[in-house]
Amino acid sequence: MLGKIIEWLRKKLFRKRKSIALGLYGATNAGKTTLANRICIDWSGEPLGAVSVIPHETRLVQKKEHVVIKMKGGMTIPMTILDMPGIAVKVDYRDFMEFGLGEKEAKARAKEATRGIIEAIKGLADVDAALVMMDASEDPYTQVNITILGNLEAKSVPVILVANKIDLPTANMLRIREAFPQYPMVGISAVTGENVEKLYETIAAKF
Amino acid sequence: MHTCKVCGKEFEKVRQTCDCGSSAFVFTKNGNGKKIVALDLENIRMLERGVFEIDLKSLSRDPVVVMDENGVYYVRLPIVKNTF
Repeated sequence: MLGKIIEWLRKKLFRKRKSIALGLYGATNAGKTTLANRICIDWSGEPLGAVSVIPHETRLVQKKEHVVIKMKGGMTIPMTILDMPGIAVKVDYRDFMEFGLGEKEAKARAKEATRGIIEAIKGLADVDAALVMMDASEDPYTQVNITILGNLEAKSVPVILVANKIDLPTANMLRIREAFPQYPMVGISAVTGENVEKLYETIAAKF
Repeated sequence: MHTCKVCGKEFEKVRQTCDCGSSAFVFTKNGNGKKIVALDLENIRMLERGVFEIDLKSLSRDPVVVMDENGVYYVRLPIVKNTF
């Protein structure tokens, strides 16, 4: 009997966790790549992708394998980080021209961005767990957020809401909490790193 | 010319259903010959106001993408039961 208990404890404490595919979803400019870079730098030493103020900077799924989060007490969480293109319901090349792009370049970017949205939506079926990023300074009750969460829920993918940009004076995490009360939520600033440790703890607890 | 998408039968005048029972037709202007619309990433393309090309075969896949005459894209996100 004692042997069985020791074996159970050994498996429970020292079991090797299977690597999880963690997808970062959200609208454009929610801070997905900034957070993906922070996670990758913190736990593998290398960033994942380029960050820009121009919408749809990430137009292809960016992937980083063998990212291992190490928690206090020796617990490790091996992950593959999948930084998804931002999802939007309209892509207008004129939005890119406002950032100085020429018409031809802007139209090509609009096409790539639309392709990225399709890829991100199809990728909703291919992740084991998801961080759904929302800009805490904006209204969270949008068609994009509802669609992302609804599709993930339909596929039984566990979700953590990440209320990003809490360093902004207009940030209001309560709006996200009230809009989607059924999900665990962590407020962070991917830019400053504020509260990211708490996010790692939540990932360890929920995934 | 209205060509049945299922059996390929051609009709000069528009009709509700084909003899095979299908109600999906591809319209081509007379003289242009048969034209099957196969678009790139969009499913529906607006050529000019009120004139559309529709890639019928691709319409079943999500998301549906409409491109307007300026090259601006509209994405219809896949519908799920709204639980919020």
